Amino acid sequence: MSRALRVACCAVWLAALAWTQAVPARLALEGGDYAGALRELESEADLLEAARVRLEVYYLVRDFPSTLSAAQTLAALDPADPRPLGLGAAAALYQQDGAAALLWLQELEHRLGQLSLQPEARARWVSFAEQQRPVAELLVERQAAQQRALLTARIIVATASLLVLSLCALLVLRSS
Amino acid sequence: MHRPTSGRPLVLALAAIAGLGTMCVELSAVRLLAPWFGASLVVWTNVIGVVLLALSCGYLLGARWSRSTRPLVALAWALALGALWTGCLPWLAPFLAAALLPSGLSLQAASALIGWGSLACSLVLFLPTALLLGTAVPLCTEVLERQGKLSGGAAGGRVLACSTLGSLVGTFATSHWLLPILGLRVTFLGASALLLLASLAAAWHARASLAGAAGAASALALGLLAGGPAPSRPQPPQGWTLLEAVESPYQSVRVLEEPTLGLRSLQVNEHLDSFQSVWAPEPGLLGEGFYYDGFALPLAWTMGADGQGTPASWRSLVVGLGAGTAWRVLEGVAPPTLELRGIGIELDPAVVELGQRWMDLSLEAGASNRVVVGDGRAVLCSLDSEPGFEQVILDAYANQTEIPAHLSSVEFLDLLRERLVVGGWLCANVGGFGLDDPVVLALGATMAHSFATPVLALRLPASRNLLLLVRREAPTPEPGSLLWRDCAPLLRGLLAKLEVPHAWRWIRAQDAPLLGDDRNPIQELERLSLQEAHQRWIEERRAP
Repeated sequence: MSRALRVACCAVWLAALAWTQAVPARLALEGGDYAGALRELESEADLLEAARVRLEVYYLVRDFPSTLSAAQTLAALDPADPRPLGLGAAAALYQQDGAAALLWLQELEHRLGQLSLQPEARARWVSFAEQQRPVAELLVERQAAQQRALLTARIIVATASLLVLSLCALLVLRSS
Repeated sequence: MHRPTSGRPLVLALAAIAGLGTMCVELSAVRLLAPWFGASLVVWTNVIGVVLLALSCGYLLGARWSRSTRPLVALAWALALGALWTGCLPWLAPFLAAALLPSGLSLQAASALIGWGSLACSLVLFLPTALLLGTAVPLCTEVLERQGKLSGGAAGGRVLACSTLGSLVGTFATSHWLLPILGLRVTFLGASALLLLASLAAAWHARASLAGAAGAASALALGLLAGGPAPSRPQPPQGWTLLEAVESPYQSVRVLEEPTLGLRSLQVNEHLDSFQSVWAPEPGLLGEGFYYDGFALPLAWTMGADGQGTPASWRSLVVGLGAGTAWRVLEGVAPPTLELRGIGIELDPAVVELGQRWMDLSLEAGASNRVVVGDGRAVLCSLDSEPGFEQVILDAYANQTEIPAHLSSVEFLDLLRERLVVGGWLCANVGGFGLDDPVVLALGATMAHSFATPVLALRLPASRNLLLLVRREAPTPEPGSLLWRDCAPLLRGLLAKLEVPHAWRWIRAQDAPLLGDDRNPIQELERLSLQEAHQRWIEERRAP
C-alpha cells in the first residue's frame, strides 16, 4: 500500500471515528429518534453540539418550556449562532407569550447586525424576524387587553357591590 | 289613601308574572353570556348569586315603596322598567361581554376573566331586572293587605305562592320551550312583552296615566329593538369563516372553515382557542396540534409495523362523539380490508346535525357507524346487548374544560371496562397542562384503579391535550419498548415525539385521590388546573 493511500485510509478512519464518536446524537436526531438523541447526549463530550441537539430535539417534539431553557443555554454558549434566538422566539410564540417572543426577536435582530453570516442565511433570519414580530406584538396587545379587561371587571364588581350595599343599608336604616 | 276594592286575582297574577320573568331572565342569562364566558359552573354560580342578591335588595326596595300612597303604581313602574331593561339585554350583553373578554385569548389567559368578567356582566345586566321584579312581592302583598280582607301573613303567603308558581312556570317554559324553540332574542323580547302587559294592567287598574305612558313608551322601544338589527355575536378568528351557527338546547354551536387548508372546526360557547371536532377534506391523521391522531394509536399497535396483526374488524365506542372526527382519523389509518364499526354517543343533537351537514358524518341505513343521542352514562347502560368493543374513546366534555363528574367516576369507568373485549383499549382525552396536572392525575389514577393496572399518560405535541391509555387485562406498551415501536408506519412520527422524557408517564392508582360517584372533586381540580397553568406560564417565561 502506498504511503498516500495509507494516509488517506488513516484520514478516513479518523474522520469516521470522529463522526461516530462526536455525532451519534445528531444521527439519532436526523433519523427521527428523539429519545435516542437525548440518551446519546448524556455521553456527548462536545458541550456546544450537545446544546444544539438538545435545543432541536425539544423544539421538534414541541416541549416548549425545555426549548426555551435549551435556547438560553445555547445562546450563551454560542453567541454567533442565531438559531437559538429564532427557536426561542418561536417557542415563546407557541406559548402565547408575546412579551418574551419580542425579547427573543430583539436579541436576534441585534445579533444579526453583528454577525457575519452567509447572505442567504441572513436573509432567512431577517425574514423570520419580520414575519414573527407582528405576531408577537399582537400577543402583547392581547395580554394588555386581558389585563385591562380584568381591571375593568374588578372595578365594576367593586362599584356594584358598594352601590348594592349602600342601597341595602339605606333601606334598612330608613325603615328602622 | 287610595284603596282599590277589587282586583285580587290581578294582583296575584302580577306577582306570578314577576316570578316568571325573573326565572326566564335568570335561565336565559347564562345562555346570553355563553358565547363569551361559557356556561361553566362558575358562570352559573355568578348569575344565580347576582339574581339572589338582586331579589334580596328588591324585597327591601319594595318594602320601602310599599309605604307610598299608591303601591300599585310603584309596581307598574317597576314592571315597566324591568320590561324595558329585559328587552334590551340581547343587544347590551354583546357590547359588555366583548369588552370584558377580548377576542383571541388562550384558555389559560382567559381563565381569570371568565370568573370576574361573567360576575361583572351579571351585575350590570341582570341585577337591575331582578331587583325591579323583586319589588313585586312586597308591593303586591301591600296592595292585598290594604284591600282589608286579608291579614299581612295571609296576603304575603298568597303572593309568595303565586310568585313561586310563576317562577316554576318560567323555569320549565324557558328551558324546555322558549330557548330551544324560539331562541334567545325572542325569549328575552317575549319576557319583556309579558312584563310590559303586566305593567300596563297594573297602571290601568291603578288609573295611573304616567305609569301607563311609561309602559307604552317601553312597548314602542321594544318594538323598535325587535325590528332592528340582530344582536352581535363573537367574530370568528382571523383567517376563519363562519359556515353555520346554531343555538342548541345545550349550547351555542358553530362551524368554521379555514379556506387555505380546507379545515373545518366545530366550536361551542366561548370556544377560546379550543374546538370540539375538526374535519379535514380527506380522512386520516390531522397532524400536529390535534389530539384525535392519538386515538389511532391502539389500532396502529394492533396492526403492527408490517400490518400482519391487522384484525378483520375493529369496533369502537366513542363517548362524546361531537361531529365524528375520531372516526375519520381511524378511517384514514385502517387498511381497506379492515371493517370499522362504531357507536358514538353525543348529548347534543344539533352537534350531530352539523356533523352530518359539514363534516361528512354518515348515519344512513347500513352505514358502519351509529350515533345515539343522549347522555354518555345513560346510553352506556342501554348497550348491554352490544358485543364488546376493541376500543373505547372517552372524549366527553361540557364546555371547554369541564369533564362531567358522572363521566369521570370509577363507577362509570368500570362500566366502560366491562364494554371492552379482553385486550381492548380505553383512550381518554384530557385537557390539561402537563403530566402532573391535577385533572390528568385524578382521572388517570381513577382509570388505573378501575383497570387494576397503571395508565399511560401521553402529552400530545403542540396541544393542550393529554391522552390516557389503558388496556383491559393486557399490558400497555411502554414508550421506547419493542411493543411500542411495533406500530403501523403512519404513526411512527407521532410515537417518536411521544417517547422522549417529559412527554409521558405512568399514573398509578395511588398517585391521586379517586373520583367516585359519591365524592368527585373534578370541577375543583379543573379550577386548580387552570390556576396552576396560569402560574406556571408566568414562571416559565424565559427571555434571552
